[in-house]
Amino acid sequence: MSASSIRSLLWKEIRQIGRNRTAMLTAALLPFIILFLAPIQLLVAMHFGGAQGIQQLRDSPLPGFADVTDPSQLLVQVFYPLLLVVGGLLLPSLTTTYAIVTERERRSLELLISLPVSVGEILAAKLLAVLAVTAVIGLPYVSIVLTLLLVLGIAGPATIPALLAPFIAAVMCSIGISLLLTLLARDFRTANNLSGAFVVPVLFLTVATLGVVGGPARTYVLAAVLLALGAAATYAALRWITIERYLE
Amino acid sequence: MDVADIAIAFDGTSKRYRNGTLALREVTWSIPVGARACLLGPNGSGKTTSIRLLQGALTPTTGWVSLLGHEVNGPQYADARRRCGIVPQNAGMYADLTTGEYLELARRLYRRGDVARATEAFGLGEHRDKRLAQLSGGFQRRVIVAAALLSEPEVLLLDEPTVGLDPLAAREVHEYLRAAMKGRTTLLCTHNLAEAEALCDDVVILRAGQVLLHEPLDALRERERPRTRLVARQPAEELAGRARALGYDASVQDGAVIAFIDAHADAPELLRALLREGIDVYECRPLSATLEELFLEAVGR
Repeated sequence: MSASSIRSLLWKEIRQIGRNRTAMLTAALLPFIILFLAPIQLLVAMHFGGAQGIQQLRDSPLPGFADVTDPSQLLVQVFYPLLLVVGGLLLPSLTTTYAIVTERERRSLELLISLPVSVGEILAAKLLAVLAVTAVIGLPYVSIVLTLLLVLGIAGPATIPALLAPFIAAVMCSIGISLLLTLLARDFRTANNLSGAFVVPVLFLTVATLGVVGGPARTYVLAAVLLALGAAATYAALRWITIERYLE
Repeated sequence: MDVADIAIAFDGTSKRYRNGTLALREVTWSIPVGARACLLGPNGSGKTTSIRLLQGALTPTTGWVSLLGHEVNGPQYADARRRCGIVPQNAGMYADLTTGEYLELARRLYRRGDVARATEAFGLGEHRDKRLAQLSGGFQRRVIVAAALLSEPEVLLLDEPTVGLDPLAAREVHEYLRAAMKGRTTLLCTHNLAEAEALCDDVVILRAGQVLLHEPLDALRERERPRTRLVARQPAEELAGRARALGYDASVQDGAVIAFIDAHADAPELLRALLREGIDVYECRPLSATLEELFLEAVGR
């Protein structure tokens, strides 16, 4: 694969994604709600009624929640990681679907492969474009909330990587699964529905992981689980499904 | 022939799709540098699959494919691919990229070329800032041909370059292609036999994923029985009967007589004999088989 070709294709992808109003609006609105508004609301809720939430969690059958003893722990170790995973899963899925499946719907993939590029370079550029858009839109909100947590003394510096890990892993997981589902789907609508549907089981898995694994390692374990899931989906997409389906 | 003299080669190449369809069955054929060949065949014969294998978009199930002496998807293939311009079949157009942006993308990927010159040469100046999907079919095809020729490639792969165009737009594209093909190895994949005949010298005919025939168009014509068309004032049946009575093989076709003779060698003698017998022949014309007839004969074999 040529870095120069991937750069050129990345230039094209970012232009195209930037010009799609629906994709951009969804990509901008969802993270604002999930990665900014919801954590701020949680911060306020923790301040007023956190103790009640802790009692409910401690009463649950999941052993990992036993060590959650105060509202700040509840926010930093359970609720905010959960929001980061939801945001990380939803944010890139629409963009991935748009970037890949529209090439099939418009039959523009034939046009693209008539230029001197490999299928691997096309996919790499698309996934990098999704990562770039996700980073530009998602990271500022995450940074603001993390700064707030630090300034308010709710989280220490060691908590920052522990919170960033599940977010980054969720983004990678989402891209891998969206790639698989998009290559399987026949059109944008199906791909979008499938991509939306995969969020539910992954969220169950997230809650289960947070609830089973206790202590400060829980978010790192969650990140590892999400990365493994994303890697398996990406491997299946590239090994068994492949973009050749679009050309057959 | 030296490997350096071969522009395109298929060697024992098969391609089976995931749905089980065997699109190519161990085909072996090649095109030398500088040749202009057309790839003909009925639907599903493997033409587009062949082009996609050359593009590196598909991987052969068995055998190998090479472009400018380098195996497709091998270590040197990327360089060979940048020396090859491709006009795809009926490709969809981007609704969110302008003509200028698409040509700029092509220039970046080929790593050479002059977008301004290509825009000028193909009359795309006014459409430079228009989105590709907003262009008419003829202009869209011009953009594709311009992108394929931007880097002055040594090889051109043309997959149905005029399909879906109105006759005027198709003629325009032909003019561009005719000029572009000069001095370049070209593989033209088409259903339009008149187009193939006008643009190519060699013919490769595929049927059901196999090479049915591969030879120069002239050689194919020479192999055909010579034919001469005769028309007389008398009914065609009478003319044909007289010609047969004189020992010539002749048949009636569309109100005229087709005599299976070499016009240059045999027609004067036949005409003299017919005129002597009172048959008023007023037309005598040697017939050259069209590619369509040659194709139909080959495919029907």
